[in-house]
Amino acid sequence: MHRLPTVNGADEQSQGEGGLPRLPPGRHGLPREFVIQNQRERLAAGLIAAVAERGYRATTISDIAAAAGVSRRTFYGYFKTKGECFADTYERVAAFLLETMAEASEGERGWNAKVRARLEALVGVLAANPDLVRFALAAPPAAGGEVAARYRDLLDRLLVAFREGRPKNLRRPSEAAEHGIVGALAALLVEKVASGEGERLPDLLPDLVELVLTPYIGREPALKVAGRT
Amino acid sequence: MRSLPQHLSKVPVGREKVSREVLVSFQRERVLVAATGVFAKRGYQKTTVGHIVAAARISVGNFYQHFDNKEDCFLAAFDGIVEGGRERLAESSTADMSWSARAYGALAKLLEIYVEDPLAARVVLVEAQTAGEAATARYNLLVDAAASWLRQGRREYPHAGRLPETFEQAAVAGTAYFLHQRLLKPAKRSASQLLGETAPVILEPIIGAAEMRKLEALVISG
Repeated sequence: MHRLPTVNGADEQSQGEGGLPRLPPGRHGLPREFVIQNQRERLAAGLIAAVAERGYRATTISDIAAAAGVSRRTFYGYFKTKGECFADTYERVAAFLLETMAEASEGERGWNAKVRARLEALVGVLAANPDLVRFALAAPPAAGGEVAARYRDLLDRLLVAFREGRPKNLRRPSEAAEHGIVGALAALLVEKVASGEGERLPDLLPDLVELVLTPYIGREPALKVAGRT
Repeated sequence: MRSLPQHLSKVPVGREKVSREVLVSFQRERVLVAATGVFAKRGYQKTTVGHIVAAARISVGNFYQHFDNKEDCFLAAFDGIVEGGRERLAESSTADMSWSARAYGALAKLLEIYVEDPLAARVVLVEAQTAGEAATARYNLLVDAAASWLRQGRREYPHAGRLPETFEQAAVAGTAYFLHQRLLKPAKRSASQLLGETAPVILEPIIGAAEMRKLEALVISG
């Protein structure tokens, strides 16, 4: 249902029902070429690319349209403002990431393994699409206002996604610890991509597993799940 | 309330003439205090020079004697807050304290400032990231400096060596994010409550539980 929008000008590729093939998580699973019939999706992809490159505030509707390979008039056929386009796209990206994580954990038994699978899927899909990190995590805090509010909302939702299925007998960490998890996660992902090492995001996996699990199960057990003892 | 920097706190009152420099400096400080409030309440983007001069009760001409533009004013406010914070941190630590005591004391002091002056906290923790490249760079420097400082703890506490490479960066970013969130969705928390929540995240992993309990006991008894 939720797809990652990308743009490509090349030949038509066979498409699944509904127009777009679903993107599999994981570093090497991303298909490189498919045509987007749906202009709204092209616009979303254009927005992601434009914001990833120059930040939210500096991005103009012309930038978005150009990156999407459509006219400004086409843009206005779908969105009244840049903000509207951003809200729509951000929600799609958020839903895509959360769904990717949820699916990855379905096959796992035990909450620790689920958390690990969720993180693995997340870094996998972000490594294949580093612009998503720039768009969804790096750019919004600088934009302030509603845009930054969506970012904070995404971090809240990521926390909920990690906690899903956790054993009831685990004590709940403090608010500082829980906000600390997602704040740190975002910072580490952003830094890796900003330093040009986006494709190496999966290298962070052991640190991230330790980061997310330690407040719940303690550092020694978290190290084990991270594969680090 | 931000207090005046030392060199201004001895402005003479009464019949003595005050030098022009002192007056200009005094006015600049007042504008920065007012600007901090405006930036914090309206957000950097929505703040105009008009808002600042209204809050500071000066003329636009006066404003431009002190600052080139809104951004310049913001950076000066940011720098002033950070400098003030540094001064207060320096006051409260002494050379003979252990690293853990200095770290705990610094965290406690920063949280006191955060609670006492939420407008200043907001300028540093929230608005700086939205106020352009120069401000963002300053914010990043601050975060990096905090992480570097924390990193020193590894030398003193060998068992901290098993913490992941990214620990300090994660702990500082995570704590900054928590404090950022608390500013936007305020809940009544005293500085000591905040200390109780953040010290286990940022400090205890480095110094260990036993050392942490010792520091907490010292604070209670002292």
